[in-house]
Amino acid sequence: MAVVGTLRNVIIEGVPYRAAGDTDVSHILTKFEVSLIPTSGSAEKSMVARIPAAESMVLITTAEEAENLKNFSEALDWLNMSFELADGKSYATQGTIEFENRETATGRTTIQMLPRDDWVLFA
Amino acid sequence: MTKNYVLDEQPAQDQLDLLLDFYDIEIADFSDFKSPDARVQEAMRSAAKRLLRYIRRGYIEITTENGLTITQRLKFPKGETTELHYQIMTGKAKIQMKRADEDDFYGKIYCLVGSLTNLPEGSISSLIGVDSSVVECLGAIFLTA
Repeated sequence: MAVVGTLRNVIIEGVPYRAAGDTDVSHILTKFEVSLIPTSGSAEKSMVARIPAAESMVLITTAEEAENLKNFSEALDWLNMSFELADGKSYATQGTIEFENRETATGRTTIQMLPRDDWVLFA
Repeated sequence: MTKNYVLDEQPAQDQLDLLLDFYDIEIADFSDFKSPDARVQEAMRSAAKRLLRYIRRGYIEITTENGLTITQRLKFPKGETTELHYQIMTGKAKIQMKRADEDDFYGKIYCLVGSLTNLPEGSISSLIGVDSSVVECLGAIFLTA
């Protein structure tokens, strides 16, 4: 059965983090931004490289968890990370995270997962 | 029917010894594992024996690269995933077992292996056939580490 929805799980370096219940991840699946360049003749296809990031990932964190994420973001080593979707499929990769911000009143912490290469689907 | 082995017994035993030596585990530790569940006792008793067979069959490869590297090759790949890579055990990985009930032997294994492979527990528990048996065998060993 096809299912879409919010996240089930986020794991970074073997530790699970709680995704906010309303998290709607914006997952870029391709490594190129594709567009067409108009010409006086037929259009030219343009493929510009980009990072296939998982953006708008909202986690609910304690101060300690946020500190861990901050350290992950500033770490010099690649991180092992994965996330599981509502339908049970998960994506895993090595990469790093961008720590965008944390709202102290709610613990809502927004990160981006940035893969060094591709995501690997586990389905 | 004779099974196809990719390794002789001695090189497979050498690989298993790398794992046991790394965590300083004695095979006798398995028979000391107390559980009221007969299946659990049997799983612990047979874990090392079955692991040796899985190494010989090529489902598991153990090397000392980066300390200790364990690779599980999936007989039934899941999506694009054909191998699982186990990280070295840490306290953080062991803490993940708190999410399973105290007497839930297999639940603990899946929490632990999920953490060691950096995959959600739900993904690990969706493995089928011998792939899940290999996970449970390795997990049983890790429980004593």
